[in-house]
Amino acid sequence: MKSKSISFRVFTIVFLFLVILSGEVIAAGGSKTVSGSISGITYFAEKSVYTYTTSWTASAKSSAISNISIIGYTWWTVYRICTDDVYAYYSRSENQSNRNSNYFEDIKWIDHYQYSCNPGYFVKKSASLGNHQFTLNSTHQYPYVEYVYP
Amino acid sequence: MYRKPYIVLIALLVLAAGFILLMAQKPGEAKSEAAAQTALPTAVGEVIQAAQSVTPVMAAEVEMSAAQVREALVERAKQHLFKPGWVMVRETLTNFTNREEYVVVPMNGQIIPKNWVRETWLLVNEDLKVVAGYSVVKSFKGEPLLETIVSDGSFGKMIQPENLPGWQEEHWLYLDLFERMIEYDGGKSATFSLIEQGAKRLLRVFSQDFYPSAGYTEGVEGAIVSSFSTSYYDWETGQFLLSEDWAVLTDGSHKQINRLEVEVEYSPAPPAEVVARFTGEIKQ
Repeated sequence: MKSKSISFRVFTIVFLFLVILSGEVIAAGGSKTVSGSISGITYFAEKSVYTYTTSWTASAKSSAISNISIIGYTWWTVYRICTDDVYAYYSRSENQSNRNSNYFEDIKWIDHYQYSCNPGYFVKKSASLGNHQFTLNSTHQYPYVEYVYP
Repeated sequence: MYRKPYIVLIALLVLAAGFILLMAQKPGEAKSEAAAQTALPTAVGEVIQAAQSVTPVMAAEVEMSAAQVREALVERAKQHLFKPGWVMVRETLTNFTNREEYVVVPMNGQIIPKNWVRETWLLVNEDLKVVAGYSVVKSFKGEPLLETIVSDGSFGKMIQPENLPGWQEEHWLYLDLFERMIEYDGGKSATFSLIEQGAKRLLRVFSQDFYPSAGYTEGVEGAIVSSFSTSYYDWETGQFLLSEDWAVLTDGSHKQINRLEVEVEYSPAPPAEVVARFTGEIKQ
């Protein structure tokens, strides 16, 4: 019994050791989600920013538990600003949506090298913000969601 | 009765010792570099279809971690890259996807060019520290778009000396690439190899990202599921030379996004209009 217990402990240590060695890919960044309801249908409005090795991404995602007339966003801005308050990247899109659907997602892919800060300055924040759109019959909801990293 | 666990324990200790030895290997040290040198050209790792300006050559894998390669580049640059006096760094970013030449930020009217040249004059002292710098981002048409200046007062006026740490030699090595690699997956997905171009030995750095959901960028038809970057450093001086970024689309095709080239010149003195910036006011 005792030897089994020791074996189990050793196995656990080896397993954890190997897990630590193998590592895992976790992109830096995160997301913010706001939920609501339109005519009894629950919806979710999400913005995100994630940083990778060669690029970073920003997204605007609208989803609902069942199909609605219009799902998407009315406007969406993505920007990166440096510590000298100079914009390294700026983009604005308007009125993108799907009809009779429960899902809409837009993801921007942005290259690190192309949009960089001036010497002496660093990335201050990267942001994804704007109003989503959820329309069912003649009812509209435009929740504002903003995610800023870090 | 206890033999089995002891065997497992010994195996664990051997594994741990191996890991410690691996981690204890000093950066840039003879072992990996010598191995790479002797591997050329007999024990060939791969044949690289390199960037346009880099002739396809035989490559030898560099058995170093991202952190070790980073440190080796810093050490080489400290010894060889900057010299006392004026140094001019020219960075040229060519974008291959642009439908428009620039974006205007509506809040402040700032222009963000898709293609740009950044020319930076750096004054380096005897201790190889940058004590003054002037940088201007220009469009490919030569229009100046953004200026930045710094000085500790030893040349011209004292101008934002608190920013000088970000102008030092390491900034021009693009080491943030390594920091992102390490943050992304501990640098495991990056590969490093040495290639020969004429009399020069170049370090080739390859890294690739995979995205959980496909994304889009202006000027590229189709969704991007992955992207990769190939950068080249002068392995003798540590100088960052070139980087090319590519997107991988859902159909498996590749699209080049951009190309960044960096040149370093040892200039006797900057032009008079640059010198004047250190004594007068600059427009932001």
